[in-house]
Amino acid sequence: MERQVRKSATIILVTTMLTSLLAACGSSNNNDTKDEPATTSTTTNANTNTAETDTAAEDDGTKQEPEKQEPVELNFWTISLSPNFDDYINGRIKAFEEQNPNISVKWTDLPYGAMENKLLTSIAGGKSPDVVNLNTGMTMTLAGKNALVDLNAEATEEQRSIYFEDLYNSTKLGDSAYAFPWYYGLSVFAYNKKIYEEAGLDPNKPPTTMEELKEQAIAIKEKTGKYGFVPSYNPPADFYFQGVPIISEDKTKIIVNTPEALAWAKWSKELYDKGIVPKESLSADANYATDKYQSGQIATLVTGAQFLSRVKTNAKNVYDQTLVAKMPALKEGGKYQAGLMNVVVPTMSKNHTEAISFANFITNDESQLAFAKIVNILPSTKKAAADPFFTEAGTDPESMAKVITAQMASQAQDFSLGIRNEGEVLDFLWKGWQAMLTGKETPEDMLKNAEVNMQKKLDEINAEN
Amino acid sequence: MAASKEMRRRYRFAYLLLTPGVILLLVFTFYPIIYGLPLAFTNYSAVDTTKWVGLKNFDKAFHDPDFWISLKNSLLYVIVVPVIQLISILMAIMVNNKLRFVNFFRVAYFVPVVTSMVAAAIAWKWVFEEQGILNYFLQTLGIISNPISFMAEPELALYGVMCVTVWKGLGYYMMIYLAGLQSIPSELQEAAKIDGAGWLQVVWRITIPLLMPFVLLCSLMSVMGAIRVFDEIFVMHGPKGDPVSSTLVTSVYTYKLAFQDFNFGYSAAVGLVVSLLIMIFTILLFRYTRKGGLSYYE
Repeated sequence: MERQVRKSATIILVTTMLTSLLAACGSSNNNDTKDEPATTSTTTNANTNTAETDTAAEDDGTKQEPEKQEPVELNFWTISLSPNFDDYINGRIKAFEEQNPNISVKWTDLPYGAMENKLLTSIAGGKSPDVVNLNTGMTMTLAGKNALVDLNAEATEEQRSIYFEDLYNSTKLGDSAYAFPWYYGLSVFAYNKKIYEEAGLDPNKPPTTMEELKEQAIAIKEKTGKYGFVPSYNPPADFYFQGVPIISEDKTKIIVNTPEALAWAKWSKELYDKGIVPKESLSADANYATDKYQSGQIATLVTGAQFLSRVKTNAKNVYDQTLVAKMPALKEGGKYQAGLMNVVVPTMSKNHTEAISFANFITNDESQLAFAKIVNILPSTKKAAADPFFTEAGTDPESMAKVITAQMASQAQDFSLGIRNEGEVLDFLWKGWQAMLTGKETPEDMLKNAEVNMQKKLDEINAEN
Repeated sequence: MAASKEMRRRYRFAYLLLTPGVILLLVFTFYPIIYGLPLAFTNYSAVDTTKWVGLKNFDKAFHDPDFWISLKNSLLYVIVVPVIQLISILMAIMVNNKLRFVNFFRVAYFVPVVTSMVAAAIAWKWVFEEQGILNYFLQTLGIISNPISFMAEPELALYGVMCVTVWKGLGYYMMIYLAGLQSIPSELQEAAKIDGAGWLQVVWRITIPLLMPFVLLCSLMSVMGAIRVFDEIFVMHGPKGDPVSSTLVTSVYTYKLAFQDFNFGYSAAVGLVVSLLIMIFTILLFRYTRKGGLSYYE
């Protein structure tokens, strides 16, 4: 009896092992067939069908009755929009479905941290959503893995032309672009009037340059013992907006070891070494600065206009003391980093045309303007951004922040290198930056080493493609 | 004959009870492990074309500075094991006495075990902040004049996380040791006392040797837990193990490779190397601590 049971158990185990080995090999085959050919096939069919209908209509000169189309269900995934924006999203979906009776949209909202894993496992399991909301980093990673539809190839000129060019190009890889830009937030400079007065500073004169910001931070630390500001380190973007090229036009050469980069590195290190900024800013998450500001421990807060409401909810007394101003510029007339949200269409979607159409609808002028009116964000379409709504200001910090950021919109850009696996290249700069601030490397060595290592990684990536 | 029939019936019933557990184990433990083996030899990324790459991932791992940093940190993390074991044995000995409120202390020491790791890690993060409780006490007692950034100093960050692991683990191991202590025949300790042995001698000569099977079990679990440490680091220092990769350990690195960089193949290879490492540790631990319990006196 025991022998029999042992025998059965062995057979089950061996079968499981063989199944998994075959499954692993099978995944390779599945991907081989499902990725590229499926895209080509769907695209070709969609384009051919449209072209055939158009040609036929032109040829006989009569208006034909539209053919009854097959019902299509689109799966739409967003990041952290439910339950706060349920009415808005459901309203837009309803409007789209009314305009496209053959298309229905099923909406799923996921927490920020879960999106990447969920999307990946879904694609790996062969059940891709059709339209997905991603930030630029996630978009670029998936685009680099050939998982997203190239909108330059499959969307129409009319669909592409409504967005600010800089924002649309944020997800460009070579001649391809992989996302319709959606909403974004620009940072404003919020500061505590009371702490400014305690430090003997004039609250009506917020800093306009980084040098002024430094001087004020030193005064605040000396007079009140509190920190002047929490730097939100993003070395690649900061360098880029300082005028450091980072990468050559042809995407073959890394250029980070420049005088501008060195000046910025030294400036940052001096503040860090002298304790003018909290040491914890080195690895602080997004909530750190807001938490410290609303508890009155930090004099200023560089934050997206949409996040001021958190201060209002959590610390009304600090909010009432808050004034807002334009961000001190990294470089005169330079660009500002836009934390952009995008909408993409995975290549595994079976309905590219309909998905692109919905992605374009949810990010069009009308949709974005309506969205901006219920939450303090900025639209990525030219027409919506020109709406008078963005010039009407009240006296409260949130309302003023809206107008200030809208004025900065023409200078907004979401930084990206425009290469595959850019995270792996930029990682050297992030690590070097931390090593420099903690005294493990000098600014000069950091830039030299970062450039060498980044170039090596870029060469590897370019050699693979 | 009848006895054999009865035995068969009992076996069937036993296997029936075991079946759901075995199925779950096969599906959620063994299947992923076995599935991960061939993945380690591919460039599997879940979305792109998968190719067989042979030993390339292993070669890459051995030339990858981050892999070595993570391995070094994981091995360094094993120093929590003797600390946890020693303190939890002492705690178990203390709560094994018939004192007033002993049940309260047993429960109190066990509370960290049932506290969510995320909540514990966040609470400890506050403790270690520049404006946190620890700095406040150290400054109040005049031990330091300026606050220390425990979270931002690369030399201190990993030890900060170790505190959380120790704090969380003490109660758990204490309960196992308490069970062990209560299984030790009291005659042995009493006989030693009659022979004139002091408290320390009883603990050192009688209690600890008899606890050796428990020490082996707890050390084994603790070593595996230390090498696999993830939650504390992820919550306190993020997926990159900042600052300057000082808290980057193999499990966090494996996660980053798979779910941030989408290099599942490479991640599986790193995971495989780490699993082999844990196996080696386990074998060594078995070899050097197998003698215990009453066999100590044989």
